[in-house]
Amino acid sequence: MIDLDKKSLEKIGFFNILDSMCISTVFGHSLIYNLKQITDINTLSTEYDNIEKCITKVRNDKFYNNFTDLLGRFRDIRNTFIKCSLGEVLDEVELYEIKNFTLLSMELKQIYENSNLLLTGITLFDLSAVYKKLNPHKSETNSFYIYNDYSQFLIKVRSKKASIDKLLFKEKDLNKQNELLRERASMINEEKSEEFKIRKMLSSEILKYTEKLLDFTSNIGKLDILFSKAKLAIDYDMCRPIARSKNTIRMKNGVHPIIKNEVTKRGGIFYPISIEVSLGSSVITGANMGGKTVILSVIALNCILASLGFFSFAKTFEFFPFDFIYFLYEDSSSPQTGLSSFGSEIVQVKKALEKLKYENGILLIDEFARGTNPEEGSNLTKALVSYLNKFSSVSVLTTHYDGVCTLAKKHYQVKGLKNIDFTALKTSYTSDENYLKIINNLMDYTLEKMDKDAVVPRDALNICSLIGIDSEIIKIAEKMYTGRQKNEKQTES
Amino acid sequence: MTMSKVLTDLINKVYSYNTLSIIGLEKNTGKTTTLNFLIKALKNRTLGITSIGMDGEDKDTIYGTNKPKIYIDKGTLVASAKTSLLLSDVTFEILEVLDINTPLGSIIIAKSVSPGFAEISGASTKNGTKKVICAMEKYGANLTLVDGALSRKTFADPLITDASILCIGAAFSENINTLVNETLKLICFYSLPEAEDKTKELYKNNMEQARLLFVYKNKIIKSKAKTSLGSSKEIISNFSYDLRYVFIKGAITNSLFIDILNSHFNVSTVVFIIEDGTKLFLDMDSYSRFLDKGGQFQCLKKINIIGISVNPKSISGYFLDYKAIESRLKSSINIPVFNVLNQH
Repeated sequence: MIDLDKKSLEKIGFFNILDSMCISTVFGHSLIYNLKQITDINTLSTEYDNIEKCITKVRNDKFYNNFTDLLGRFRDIRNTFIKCSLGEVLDEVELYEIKNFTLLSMELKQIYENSNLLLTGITLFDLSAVYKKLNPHKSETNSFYIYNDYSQFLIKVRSKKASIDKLLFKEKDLNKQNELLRERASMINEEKSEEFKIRKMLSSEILKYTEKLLDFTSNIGKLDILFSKAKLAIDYDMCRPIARSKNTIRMKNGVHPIIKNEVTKRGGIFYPISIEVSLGSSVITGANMGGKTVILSVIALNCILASLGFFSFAKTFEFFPFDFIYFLYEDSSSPQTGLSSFGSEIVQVKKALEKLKYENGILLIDEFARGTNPEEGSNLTKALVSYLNKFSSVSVLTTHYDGVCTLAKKHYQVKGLKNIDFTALKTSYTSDENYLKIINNLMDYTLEKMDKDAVVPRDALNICSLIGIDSEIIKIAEKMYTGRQKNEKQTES
Repeated sequence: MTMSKVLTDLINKVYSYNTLSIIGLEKNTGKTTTLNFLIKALKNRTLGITSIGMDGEDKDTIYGTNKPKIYIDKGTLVASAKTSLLLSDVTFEILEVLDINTPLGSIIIAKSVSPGFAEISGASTKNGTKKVICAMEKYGANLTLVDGALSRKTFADPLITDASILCIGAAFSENINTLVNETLKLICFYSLPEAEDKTKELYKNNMEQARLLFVYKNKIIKSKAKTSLGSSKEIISNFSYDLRYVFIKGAITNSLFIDILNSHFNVSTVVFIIEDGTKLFLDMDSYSRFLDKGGQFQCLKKINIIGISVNPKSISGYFLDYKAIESRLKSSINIPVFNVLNQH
């Protein structure tokens, strides 16, 4: 899987995405939660090619339904294959299940070959030899028993048993009946031991194919995953990511499907996110409630999915095969450590910095040092941002602190409430209105690239006044704002 | 084999059903013998055979008496757990492995390629058995027999099948009076009248989670009780002359009812709606008192007993007087009665 703790993956919404996928087989299910990160650009590209090929087939409803239905009909009999590979003799039911499996495998192979999909990394072996062993008749059946065709001796024993059966039910004499029952019992013993020989013979024949049978199950799983990746791509209008060796992430109109869904359900609009970040540190500033954390989640989700060979939730998405990804957010520290939120945050950052020294990765930090006093917090963040610039990893930080962006290589800002006339707005709404909803509606979540020295927006005061906090507080705060601005002007002159 | 008119009529009646269960008052009341008799007597039908839960052992573990096995003809469908199925001496063609697991393995649908003695142990739940019956029908069974396996006081089988044959015998009681009275009581409970459709609807809509519900002239009170056992106080305290129905889900015990009968609760103005007759665990005295006071039970599903098979032989070898049992039953009920031991 991906080298990121479960809690962070949950926060990013990664598992929600996996859970929402249409996996048809148990083989797919056992693969999906153990997907391997792909670090080779060519391998990534072939995986995306595979998805693209599958997409054309998924769009064909009839094919897709038939295909996934067929996949779903495979039962998980891997234990039987393993049992067989260990030289054990299989029973009738197990032989039946193998017969059924091989019959389905032939059907799948045929459909797959006719479809001309030619997916890289998928090999469906021909298992018809196994089927033939289990279907000595000419006519095609999927049921099974130890057929007479397997042995002349079996035919003899069975017909003898049948004639005893006939006699047995005509016989009225109890002694003679018992005699016949004894005879019948010995016939049954002979029949069973002959059947055992046949089962042993069949098991050793199948033994030669167990590796191929097991391989077939993992190919079913791979096909299942590819088709569900393709289905996901269609359902969410995802794009094919571009993997480059250059340490850059370039996302156009990225979305988070889970958050988007929630926002739309609330009646809001989810604003797609476009951003370009490359090696060194980039800083995102913006209003409170401006969705800065969501931005980091979208970047993380798309990077992780793309590196696992998925398409991306965006219009276009470029990334690089990374060695590690860290997502540090509020509460990402475990409370068990007994450290304060600041303490555990620093522990997390320390861990990430260790990796950073030797590997190429992605570091996403949400509001670093928010838990300490603003002056120290601001200084620490500045120090971290300039330190991160030394490394070839891509770091993205969100912050409220002033002056941090000047040290970053790139600065983005959420437009937020910048273009809103608050005084007009305040009078046009009654106090009964749901201000949170109004703020949500007015908030412009789009990101814009800013100069490094652009100031951090002062939306906090506006939000306070919109929500209707005591006006005296607002007044005092406003005085302090203007006082500070005067001071700043004086020092400038 | 010549059959009496009673049995010919009974067999003819069986033909009109798709599913039939064989249920027993007790172990060793001749269920398997009855089943074997039916299998032999039913012609021109593709039989499907299964049981609820595990089949009895080869020998009775207590008395060591030989227990009969199910003898099936070629072309019979069975649904049985894997281990049991593979122990049969019949050659079975495996048709399907169902996703129903039991301690004896998954349930397998198979068709006999040869006649022989089969071991059948089916699904242990009501829903499992329903699925099993459906699967056998898919492969062509047009009459499915469900063996009630071990005796039990709460039957699931009669509720799944169209009709049932009740097996009674000396194994339950060597006292004819006790045996006949218990049988009559069961028949009486099983044939309780079904509630009107709209009442059934109300029951189904409200009793998904609830165990107890009071329906008044113009309101409904849903009880929070987790079980109907021990809720007599609540039932009594909810009485009023506006109370029309009391819906009860689960077992109705004697003690629950004695409490109600001894209180101010006027049973004559209220109808008690229960799931079915198998949920009633009243003794005849309490039930008679209830009826005398004008009480009335209605159920969601009536159990259709179409015949009573009697095994007069007890496990210890003692024989009951079959004729006496037959005449006592016949004087009270109009259901065919037959002696299972005479049918060979």
